[in-house]
Amino acid sequence: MHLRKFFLTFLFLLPLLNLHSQNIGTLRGLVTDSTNGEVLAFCNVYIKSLNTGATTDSRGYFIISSIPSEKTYDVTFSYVGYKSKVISAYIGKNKVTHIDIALTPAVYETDKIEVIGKNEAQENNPDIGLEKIVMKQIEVLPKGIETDILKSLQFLPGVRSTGDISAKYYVRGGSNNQNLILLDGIELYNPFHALGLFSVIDAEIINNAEFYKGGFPAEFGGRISSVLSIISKDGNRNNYSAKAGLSYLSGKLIVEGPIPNGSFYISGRKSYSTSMIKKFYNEEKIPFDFYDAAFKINYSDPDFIKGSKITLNGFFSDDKLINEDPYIENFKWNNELFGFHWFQVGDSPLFFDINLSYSHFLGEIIPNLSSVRPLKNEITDFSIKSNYTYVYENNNEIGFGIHIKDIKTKYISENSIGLMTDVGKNGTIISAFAKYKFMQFENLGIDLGTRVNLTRIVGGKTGSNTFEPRISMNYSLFPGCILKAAYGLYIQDLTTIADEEQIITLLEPWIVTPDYLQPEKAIHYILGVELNFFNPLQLIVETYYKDISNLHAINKNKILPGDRDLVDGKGKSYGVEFSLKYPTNFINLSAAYSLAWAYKEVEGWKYYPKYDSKHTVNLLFDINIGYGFHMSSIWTFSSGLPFTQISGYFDKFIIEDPYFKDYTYGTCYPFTLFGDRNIGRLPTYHRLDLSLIKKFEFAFLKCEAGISILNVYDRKNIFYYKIDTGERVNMLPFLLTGTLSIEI
Amino acid sequence: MKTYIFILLLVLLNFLNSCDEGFEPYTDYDEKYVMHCILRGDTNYQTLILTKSYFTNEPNPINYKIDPSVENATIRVWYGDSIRFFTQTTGTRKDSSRYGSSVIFYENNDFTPPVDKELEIQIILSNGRKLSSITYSPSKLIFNRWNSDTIIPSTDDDKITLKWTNVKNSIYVKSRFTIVYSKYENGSWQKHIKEVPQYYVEKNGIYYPKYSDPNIYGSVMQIDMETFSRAMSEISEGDPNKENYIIYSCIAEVIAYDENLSKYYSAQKNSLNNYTINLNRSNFTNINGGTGIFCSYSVGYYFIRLRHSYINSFGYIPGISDVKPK
Repeated sequence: MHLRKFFLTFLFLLPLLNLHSQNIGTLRGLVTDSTNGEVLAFCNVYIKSLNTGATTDSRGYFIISSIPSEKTYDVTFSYVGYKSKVISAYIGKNKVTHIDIALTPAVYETDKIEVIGKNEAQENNPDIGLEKIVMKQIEVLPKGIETDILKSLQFLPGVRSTGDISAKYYVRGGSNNQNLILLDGIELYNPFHALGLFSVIDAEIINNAEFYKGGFPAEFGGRISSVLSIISKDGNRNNYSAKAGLSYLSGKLIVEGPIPNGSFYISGRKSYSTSMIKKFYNEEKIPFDFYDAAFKINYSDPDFIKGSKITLNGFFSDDKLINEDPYIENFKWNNELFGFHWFQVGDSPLFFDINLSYSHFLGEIIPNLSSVRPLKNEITDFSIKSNYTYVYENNNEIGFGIHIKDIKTKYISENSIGLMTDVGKNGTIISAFAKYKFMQFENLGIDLGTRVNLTRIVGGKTGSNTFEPRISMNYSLFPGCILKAAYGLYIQDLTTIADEEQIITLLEPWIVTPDYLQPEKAIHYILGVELNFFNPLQLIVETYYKDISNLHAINKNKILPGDRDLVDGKGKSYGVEFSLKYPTNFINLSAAYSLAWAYKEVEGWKYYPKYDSKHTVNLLFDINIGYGFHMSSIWTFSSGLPFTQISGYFDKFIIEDPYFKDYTYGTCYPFTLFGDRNIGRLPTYHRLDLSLIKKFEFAFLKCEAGISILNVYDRKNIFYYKIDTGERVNMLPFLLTGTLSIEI
Repeated sequence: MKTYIFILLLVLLNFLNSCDEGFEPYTDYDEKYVMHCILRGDTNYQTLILTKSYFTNEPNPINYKIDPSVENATIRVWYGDSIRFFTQTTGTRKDSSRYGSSVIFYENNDFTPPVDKELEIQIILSNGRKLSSITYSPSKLIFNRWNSDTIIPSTDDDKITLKWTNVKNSIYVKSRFTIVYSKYENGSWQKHIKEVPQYYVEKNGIYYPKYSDPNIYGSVMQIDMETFSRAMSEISEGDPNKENYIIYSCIAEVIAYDENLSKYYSAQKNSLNNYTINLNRSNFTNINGGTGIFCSYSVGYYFIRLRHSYINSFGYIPGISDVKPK
């Protein structure tokens, strides 16, 4: 407690360090794509004469403080896939100079290769555990069915899945439900279509994403493993355009264009065939039907509010699994998201954003005439977030904000006396955060903050979980060598009733942590080093240790409907990750290796979680061949996942006739006896995927055709053994898929 | 750059070479004895199956053909001061595709489990190993005649209602209405039973029956007259000769599972779902020294008359009087 008081006092006294003034100015700006006006996130901005710079954030903004004033500087803007641009900017005394820059995409056949100093810009910006994802990078990767942001995460070191079939991902030993997914700042509770096969967010609507594998800063809360913050595109600010796409599974259309002082897009995607899904589900016919749709309108009128950008967006997804046979159950689940976002920059180096959002998830099991237990789960989330950032003259930053989240959950299921009852909870979570970023030294950056949970909705002893301190730092030991470290405490009030043994599942209901459990809590410790000796070659090594307490696990002893769904446990994971990257405009090479350990302990029994893989290697190579051709390949290797071995069988009596008229003679079926949980290991997994994309113009149409070959050498990777028949089920076989998109 | 790629390839090759492709889905065989005994409250004939677990590395265990039945066991059931023994016997198996033509099991033909009693089973196997279990039989069902219908159709409403008491909260109850009738076929009257579903669902002009599942804390059974009438029609569906049917009565049957049978059923129901792929299944056992189930259930029957005018409206012949004898 004393430590916390000291930490808070220290945090709030930090701004006093900045009470001095010099003859300096600030450069601020917005970087966009010249062809469509979309913001360019993670673009490098560099003032060579001062050897200082910045990187644009996910909104395309950058800010460089403490620039000696009353001088003109050459500022270089560089970004992979775009022509670099140098402009001159005059920095006024004690002023914020604002510039808007549009970069032009490189035409690879004619432009000379530019090797871009990716990390020159801001070596001291704490970014441990952070992966910055630009959609252009993943659009060229081989596609299972379509480009998918969640599937692409699985190629990152530290991210695991349990098979080709699922886009569910597990980060550094954490469970799937411990990953926060934000779409334009709005929480998305169920991000999967079709039994978790791929994401509900169409890649066409995404501009960029930030993915924190751990050690995430104080502005993020509510999950204990990772954060994926997806920013959707704004829509073409220059021209009206329409793009239609077709895959084996779905058709889609996106329309975008300018509006006075802004732009918009509207998109929709609808399934039309399930023939490809059969390949993923062992030729089982599953009657899926789904769609997703999104829109965004943004408006920034200097005559209305100078320096503001107002955005309105919505997102909907709907999945149905409807059977013709009335004796088989149906499933439905959908998401609805709406958001209002006001981002404001002023004449001073203060910027803030205010988010009002609504997120609703509904999942339902409709038994029809079957004996399946009915279930309805609903979560309604109204949130208000306001974040403020002030950049001092010496480059230090202070940030603070308040997040108010009003949650209503419904969990309607059969209770202990067989009636359908709702055990959902309502309440409001009010949390605040404050952080201070030391950026005044060229070789040192520290992000120090805490999240404060002012009100909670969970049961149990919540008083001990008020503060979530976080610290992250970068230290440039010498040019080209950056040491990194992070520590953080994370708390999660919501949980899911999810059984890790269910490798394919339709519905994982979200609930507020029940009164009989404490909210899940994790502590992250991360250490890393980034080496940039041979530009643009970059090597990042990160080690982590994650300690999870109050881990929620499914109650394996639940027999009657009224028994508790979850039990308490704990978890631990640690490992080391190596990431080697060589990005250029023509060739992009990356290699990642992770060595990881993960354990869970539930009811005194320790075991490896289903997604624990000791060794994982991902090799990625993509090349722009020229003449509109782009080729890429991914080779993935992982050591065997844990599974529970079979120790024998017995003939178990199955109640088929509830009147037991003739039970002696033939209602016994083989039932598997299992050994120690997850002690066995499946064989190693490896797979090579290739992709070839051709861009071409046909009359006035811009076309893109792509083919992907999955599992090129037809590796028989084991997915699982059927528990009732012992039959081996493999993952994806050799598979050829194709996509076509046409843009007007 | 070349050095980096070379080192990377070396690391990769090292991993691939160290991969052990020898894969073992099985662990050491764990022999268990399995006993299934459900004591039926509606008869004095009780059976018990005694088997043991087995190991096979066949891709599908259903292909394992060696009968795992356990013979020569001493089996006795205690209730209060009384004791009943089960003796080994054989019977003809309905499905002989797996284990051959006869089934080995144990029986007792002089034992109707008493209601609301502790029942204890003890088994001594020929190798000296012991299995045991305890269960408590359900209480006797008591029908609430004041709040239940005694004739169909009722004059009060368009539902048929049956209520009963004396059922514990945590047990499953299965109930159904049946129509007892005779059909004239092949020169004689043959007796039949038609189970009335809980309701029908209409889809594309076809009516699909939904029969009730066992449910917890059941103390009432109620169906619409519309459902009952559809079931009445189905008795002679497609047969224009309605006079070939004699309708006698409606009989309600209510089965109350004991707590162990309720848990066994509930655990089985937890596994039901056509799409979820689960690598484990819930199993409930109350057998000490082995696995399986020892449990009981009780049954209650309730007789409801049918109005002759109602039977006649279908073209059928009434079989018994619709007036309650004085």
